[in-house]
Amino acid sequence: MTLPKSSIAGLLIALFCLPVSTLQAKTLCVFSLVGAQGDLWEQMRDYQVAAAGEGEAFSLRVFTDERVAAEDLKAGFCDGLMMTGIKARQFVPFSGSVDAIGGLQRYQSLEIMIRLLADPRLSESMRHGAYETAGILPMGAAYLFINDRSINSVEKMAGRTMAVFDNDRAQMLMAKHIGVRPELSDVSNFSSKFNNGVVDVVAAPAVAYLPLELYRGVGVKGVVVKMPTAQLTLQLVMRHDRFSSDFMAWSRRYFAQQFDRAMTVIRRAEEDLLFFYPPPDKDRPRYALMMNEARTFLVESGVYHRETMALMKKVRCKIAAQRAECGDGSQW
Amino acid sequence: MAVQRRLVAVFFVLLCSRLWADEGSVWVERYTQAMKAQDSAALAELIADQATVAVTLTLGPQEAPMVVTLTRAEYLQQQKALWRFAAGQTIVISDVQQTVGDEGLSLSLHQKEAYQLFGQTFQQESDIVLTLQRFQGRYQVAHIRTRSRQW
Repeated sequence: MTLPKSSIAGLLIALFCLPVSTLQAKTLCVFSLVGAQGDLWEQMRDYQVAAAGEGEAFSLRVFTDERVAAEDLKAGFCDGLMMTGIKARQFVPFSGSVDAIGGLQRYQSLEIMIRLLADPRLSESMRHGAYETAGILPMGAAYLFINDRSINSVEKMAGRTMAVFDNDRAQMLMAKHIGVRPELSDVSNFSSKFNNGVVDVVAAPAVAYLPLELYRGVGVKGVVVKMPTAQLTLQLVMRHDRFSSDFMAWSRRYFAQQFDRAMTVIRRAEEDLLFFYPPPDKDRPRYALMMNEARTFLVESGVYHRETMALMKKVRCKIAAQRAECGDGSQW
Repeated sequence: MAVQRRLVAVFFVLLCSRLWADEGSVWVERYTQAMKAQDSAALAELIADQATVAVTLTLGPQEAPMVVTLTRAEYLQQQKALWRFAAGQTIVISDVQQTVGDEGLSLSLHQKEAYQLFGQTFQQESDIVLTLQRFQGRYQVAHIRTRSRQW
């Protein structure tokens, strides 16, 4: 069977007219400490299938080292990367500020925020330089894991050692602010430092508890403070020249719809936390005050995107209008 | 006539106390069984939805005790997590006492627990005071106050 000459010419023209990037196979990279398995990996596999239905085909590549994955995104070896919101902040500060310390306390607030960020009216803000955020998933609230229950107030944390992520200026500033000694760490080694007693305090989500064996660090004398210091997220950041605006918008809506699925995993993980106590009754107002002060201090230090912080305040006040901040006229 | 009324009143007070006392004994029995069997569903049935749990943890001679108020869900979650990780449970409940008051039946008991946890022995000794009230036809705990020492 032979094709007519006009058809061959048409195919060739169509082929030459396609941008080079479209012809290259696309790769989406996924940062996952547990490798190509587990809930996140399954979610990304499902996303891959759903995206194919939208006409976008790509392969998935897993990284267990977030730093290497981020470098590959910058170098163009990854067309997109699913990474922690803390890491994503350097690519898209607007959406990367969702993980702000003291930003959102409740999962209900986070869900509203993620749906808001998937609104097409905010699509411009989701783009920064060569990058665009194409989806946000909840990773769970960050709680303080402490190896000694007698460290039960902000004052008693002063002088203790805390693991802070070297890629997060916010944590470093926060540590100095409350007087703890920062121990520079990263996602791959903070848990071993805690479990081996090198540091007294770490902040982590419940989903890290079993895989990273944080119960060993808490032991029988420690505590996990049931008060979110931040709402951690996973964010898919893509090179926006590699995907259409329509696909990006679809992708943000897709991930917003996956909120409940991700929350099932988080709630299950929180059920497992042992010695998971709220702050002592007398210290609860002071912890809340500390979170508010931390947020303001970090916004004013230029760590977080001011527009995001203003949006987050609106969300907080929508959920709990009785909060003192809701009538104080402050921006964030 | 007045003497008769008083006698009837005394009779009812005694009857109510007796009924309360029976409810108290039944509750303690069910609680002991739930704890020994590590049965979180059975434990949950004994506690009212809106119950609060005030935990006072003593932290040693140099430290002021830590007071934490838990919701029913938080209390049950902790018990479940402990059972999940711990092995070799021993639990002894003793010194059960009952008092009928305006708020219902007050039960007090002493509870001594020991577990193997993360390769160590975890022990807890608690003085627990519970207030039992009737909710939708069932006697459940409305309030728990516990003073615990852990080591």
